[in-house]
Amino acid sequence: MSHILLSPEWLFGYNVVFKLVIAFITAAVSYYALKMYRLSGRRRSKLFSIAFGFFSLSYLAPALFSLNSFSGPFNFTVYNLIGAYFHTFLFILGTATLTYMTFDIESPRIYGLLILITLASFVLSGMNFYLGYAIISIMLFYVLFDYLLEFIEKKSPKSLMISIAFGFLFISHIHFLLAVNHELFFAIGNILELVAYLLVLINLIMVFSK
Amino acid sequence: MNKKRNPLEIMYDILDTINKKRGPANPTHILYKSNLSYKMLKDYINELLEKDFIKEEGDKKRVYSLTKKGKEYLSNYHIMTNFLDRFGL
Repeated sequence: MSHILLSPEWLFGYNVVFKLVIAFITAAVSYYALKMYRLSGRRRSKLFSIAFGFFSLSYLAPALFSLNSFSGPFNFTVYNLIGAYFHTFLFILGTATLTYMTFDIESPRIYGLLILITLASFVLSGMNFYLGYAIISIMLFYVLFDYLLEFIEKKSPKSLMISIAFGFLFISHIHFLLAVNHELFFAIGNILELVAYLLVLINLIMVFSK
Repeated sequence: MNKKRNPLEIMYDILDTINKKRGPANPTHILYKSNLSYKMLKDYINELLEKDFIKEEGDKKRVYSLTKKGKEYLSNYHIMTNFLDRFGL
C-alpha cells in the first residue's frame, strides 16, 4: 500500500475540522436533493443526492477515525491510513454515481459495472491510493466537462457556481495525486477542497435566499 | 405564455389551477385554465395521480383536488426549481 495521501501530523486537528464541516455541507446538499427528487421526480436529483450522501460518509469516516486516535489502541498513522482508505472507497462510490448521472440513460447494469470496475481497481491495485485518486480525478474531470457543456449549451448562469465548485474539487484531487511525499501539496489539496465545498454551501444558501 | 413550458411548470400550472378553484376542479376547468391540449392534460392528470399530487373525487363526474403532497409541491415549487437550476439537475 502506497504512503501517499496521509495527512501530515501538523495538519491534524484542522484536517478533522475541515472534514466534519465538509461532511455536514454534503449531507445538507444530499438531503435537499432527495427532497427535490421526491417533488420533481428528476433522475439527476436522485443520483446527485446519492452521490453527495457517499461524499458525506467519505468525510465523516476519516474524521471519526482521526478522533479515535486520541483514545484508541493504535497510533496516529494507522488511524490515518484506515480513514484515508474508507474516504477513497466512499469517494469513488460518490464520483461513480455522479458520472453515471451525466449519462442520459437509465441502466442499473451500467451503474453496477461502473462501480465494480472503479472499486475493484482501487482495492486490488498495489498502489491503492494513487490509482484511487487517479480514477476519482478522471471521473471528476468528466463531470466537470458535462457541467461546463450544459452551462454553455443552456446558457444557464445559475449553474456556474456548481461548475466552478467541481473545478476546484478536480484541481484539489490533482494535488492529492501529486502529494507523494509532499505534505504541502496535501495541505493545498485540502484547502482547495474546502473552497469547493464552501462554494457548494454558498450555492445552497442562495437557493433559499430571495 | 411565450416560451415553451417544461413538465415541472405544466404540473405547477395544473396544481395551481386546482388550488385556486378552492374546491374540487373538473377537467374542463383545468383544461381551460392551464392552456393544454386534451391529450396532454390526460397524460399529466395520470402522472399527477400516480405521484399522489392530486386525488380523484366524485361519483358521476370526475373532479380533482389536491393532496398534501400536491400542496407541498406548490409551496416548494420556487425553491425546487431554484435548487435544480443552481445544481444543474
